Amino acid sequence: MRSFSIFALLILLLSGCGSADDGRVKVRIWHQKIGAERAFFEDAIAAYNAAHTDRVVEILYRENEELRNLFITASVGGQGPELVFGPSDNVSIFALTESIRPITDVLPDSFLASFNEDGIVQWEGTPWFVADQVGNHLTYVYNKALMPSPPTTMDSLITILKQVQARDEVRYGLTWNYTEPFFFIPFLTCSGGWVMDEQGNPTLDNEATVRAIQFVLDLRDKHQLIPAQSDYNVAETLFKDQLAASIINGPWSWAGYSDAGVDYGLARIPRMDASSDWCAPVISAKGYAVNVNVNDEKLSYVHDLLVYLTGPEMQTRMAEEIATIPVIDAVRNAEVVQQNPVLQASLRQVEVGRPMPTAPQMRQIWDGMRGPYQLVMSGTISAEEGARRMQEEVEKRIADTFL
Amino acid sequence: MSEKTRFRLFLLFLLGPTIVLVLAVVAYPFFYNVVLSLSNMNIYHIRDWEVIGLQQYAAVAREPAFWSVFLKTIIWTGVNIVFHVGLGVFLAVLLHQKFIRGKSAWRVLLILPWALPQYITALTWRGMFTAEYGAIDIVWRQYLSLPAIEWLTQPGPAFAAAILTNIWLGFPFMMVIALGGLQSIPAELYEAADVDGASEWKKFWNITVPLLRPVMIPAITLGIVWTFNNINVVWLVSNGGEPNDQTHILVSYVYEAAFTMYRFGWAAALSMIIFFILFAFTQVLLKRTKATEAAY
Amino acid sequence: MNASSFDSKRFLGRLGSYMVLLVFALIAVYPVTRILTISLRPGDRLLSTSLALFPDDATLENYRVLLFETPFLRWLFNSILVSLVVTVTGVAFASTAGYALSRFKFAGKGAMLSGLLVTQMFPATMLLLPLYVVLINLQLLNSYLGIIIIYTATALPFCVWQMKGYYDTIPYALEEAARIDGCTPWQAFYKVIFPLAAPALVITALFSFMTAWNEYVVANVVLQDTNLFTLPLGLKLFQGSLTTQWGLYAAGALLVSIPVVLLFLVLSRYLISGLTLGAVKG
Repeated sequence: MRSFSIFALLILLLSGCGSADDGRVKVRIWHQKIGAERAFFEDAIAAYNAAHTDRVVEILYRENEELRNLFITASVGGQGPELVFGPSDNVSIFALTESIRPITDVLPDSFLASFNEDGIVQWEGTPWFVADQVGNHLTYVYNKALMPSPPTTMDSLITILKQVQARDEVRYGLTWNYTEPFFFIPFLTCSGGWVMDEQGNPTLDNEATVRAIQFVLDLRDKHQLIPAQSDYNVAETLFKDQLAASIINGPWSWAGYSDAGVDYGLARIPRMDASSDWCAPVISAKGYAVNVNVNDEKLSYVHDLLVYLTGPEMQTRMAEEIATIPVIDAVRNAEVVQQNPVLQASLRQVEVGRPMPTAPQMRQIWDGMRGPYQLVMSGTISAEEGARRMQEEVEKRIADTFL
Repeated sequence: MSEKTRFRLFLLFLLGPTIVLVLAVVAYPFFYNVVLSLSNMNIYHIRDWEVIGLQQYAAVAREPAFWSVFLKTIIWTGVNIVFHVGLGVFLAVLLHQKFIRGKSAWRVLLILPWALPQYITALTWRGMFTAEYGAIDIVWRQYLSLPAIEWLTQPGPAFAAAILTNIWLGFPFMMVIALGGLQSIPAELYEAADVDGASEWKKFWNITVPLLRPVMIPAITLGIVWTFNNINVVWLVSNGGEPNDQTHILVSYVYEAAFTMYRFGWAAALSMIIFFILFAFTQVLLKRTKATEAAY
Repeated sequence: MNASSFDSKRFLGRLGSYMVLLVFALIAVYPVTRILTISLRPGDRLLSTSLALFPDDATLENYRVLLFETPFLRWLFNSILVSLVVTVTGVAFASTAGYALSRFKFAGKGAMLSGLLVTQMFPATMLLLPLYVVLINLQLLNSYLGIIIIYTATALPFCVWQMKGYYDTIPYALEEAARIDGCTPWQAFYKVIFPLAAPALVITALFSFMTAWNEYVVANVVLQDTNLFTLPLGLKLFQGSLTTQWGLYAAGALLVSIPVVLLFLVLSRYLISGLTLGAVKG
């Protein structure tokens, strides 16, 4: 029986864990910052905690999808962190589930006035969200050792890539992720298409989508410039091993390329010759929203923290140290930003980007497009069939959400 | 204290903790889900949901993909269990032979698939199936010179890839169970059979199989239930149903409905249907194997 | 003549057994060697065309970073603590409940056995939401007690069935003999039957341990403080929605499996101590 009493003791010890109550006001943030940005964020929070003795900020990383689900669960249960950091796509879902309160409850207009339109995300007329950056933009990344200068139009892209691919060591001119429709959007926009209309209805079964798909299929089958199969990791590895001369990928990936010894350059994804439209990626703001369960006593602490985390000073430091694009125009025009080549390349791409729609239907659009996009890329169905199925799938999913 | 009271107290002492603990964790969530499955809880009614009757069950039944996904779930479960148990018992019997040297080394090597976190091994298998870089793809094309199979981008091969991965993950568990069971079989029975001149095969069917049964039946029953509801491997190897949602089993539909579409009522109804399917199945299985009846 | 053909047949049989074991051991080990390779590769590459075990530019950097620049050791400690408590509880409860279900007749016994099975049939993802609400009300969020209770309850149904099945193979004559010698029912169980069930106890212990050791989904909901994280939660910190630190992830996976392998090595001695069963039966 001795083991049982030791066991009982253990249980007592364990239940005591986790309640370090020392009278300080606790503000918790769930975030999804990764890599260098996470390290920067952790330092910034540590500095904030060191400067304040009456409060403590605790941060917790969660992968985007989990962050959204757990935050909603927690908030509906009357709990959850005071602040949540993530991409602006989550805003309408948080607002619909009444998980967050308007950002104007916490931040005065005088503070928000300095932000540009990328920086404050609205849904149904209410501002819910304040950003510390805008980004997530796919960009054309090329290996400088294999191609000295990037193409600016799709016709020149095909010509240049054919020359590059003639070299033995290069297996493919270009590569990207074939499994996520997010990577297909640039081809759609420069073919004259877009995913939804003003009311949030999908607009995928049309000529523009067919043209976009056909263009991609031609790259693969007619010009043979891209791999027959690829997903995120295959594309990454091909580019890092210098077997692919260029890749379409976002800011989160770039540091990994220099680590792998690739001398890379950034350029806008080329424009389509026929329309002369730039192939525009989706861009989205990343920032903070306030949990609906935050009581009024804590509001002033949350206010103070948000001003610290999103104010001009922090945005300048972020631009300088981790090359994020500020959403305060004064900072964007400041010298540190203007002099930074990576930021400038980034900004040039963002200038032609399409903002991520805040409508909640966006999730059904991604989910509905994904399957047909994969079938198209694996050569199972034609461009027309692909466009038709995308529309059908999205419509079914949107109808389903109402039950 | 009468003999009867003392017996009852003894029983309570033996069974009480288990009953309390299992009920505490399972009972409330289960009834909560019953109510949820009768409700309209979704993204538009997450706080103000109400009971609407059997509509969600009807919606599940109307779902065009339901029957094909159900069929895939049965194939998934059947193939996995046959290989888990078959390989597990086969390897355990091999290992149990007297002449095998270095038994503990073999055992440790063979349980490795169970010892590593599934999250990582499943993703490693996905890597091994990828075109261009996958070890399986490389061996298949370059060393065996077989025609390339697009493992992850065609529905059939992608599903087969998930099944292969799960067979690899699951056989060590059954092997360990069988190893434990083999210990309780007296060596004298085999010696007596040897004297009668019985073949290895005869000994296996007439001694090993019947005496392993009491230990293997619970493991197999639960193995079926777990495999039926195992979302991790399918989800990770097929990257959430790729290509085109062709590699789903029923539970991954539940997950998708609940956590990417927030159709909680619908997901709860589908969960209840899964529950009833498994419940009916195991009742039949237990009746036929008489596993709930006492041995004494 | 007869004897020699018998010998060569036996030799072939033995050789065959070793060959088959070797093939399966290779199949079991090969994917693990891929993980080893990834963990030794610099620059976070999941894939490579090379099938070599050690990459040309192999480095232990990932292990160094993992051990010294992340709270890996802290998570390791947490995981060991949680898993051991779950193991002890699981063995204690399952061995007693399984015994009652194997040996005694009482009302509701069949119902209880199938009741335990029934708890496994509901898709676990759907239990999370209500469980979360319960934990909030009981103030068990962010505490080990919460996950320990859940893990034990998750592992118990299988463990109880497993123990019951094993006790069924032990002859009742043993307890009768013990009772005649003057043992109480508890003593008959604790002193005679319990030790004989060692192989099943090992399986119960291993299963309980593994349930707690690799569990991710529940822990992810319950634990919200990085210092309280268990290993699977900690490892997930290296994974983003598109970018993953594969090197750290793989190095972590290998280190995570070492305690399990050690535990199995220790326990497997008892797995083969079927002891004197045969003697008693005969």
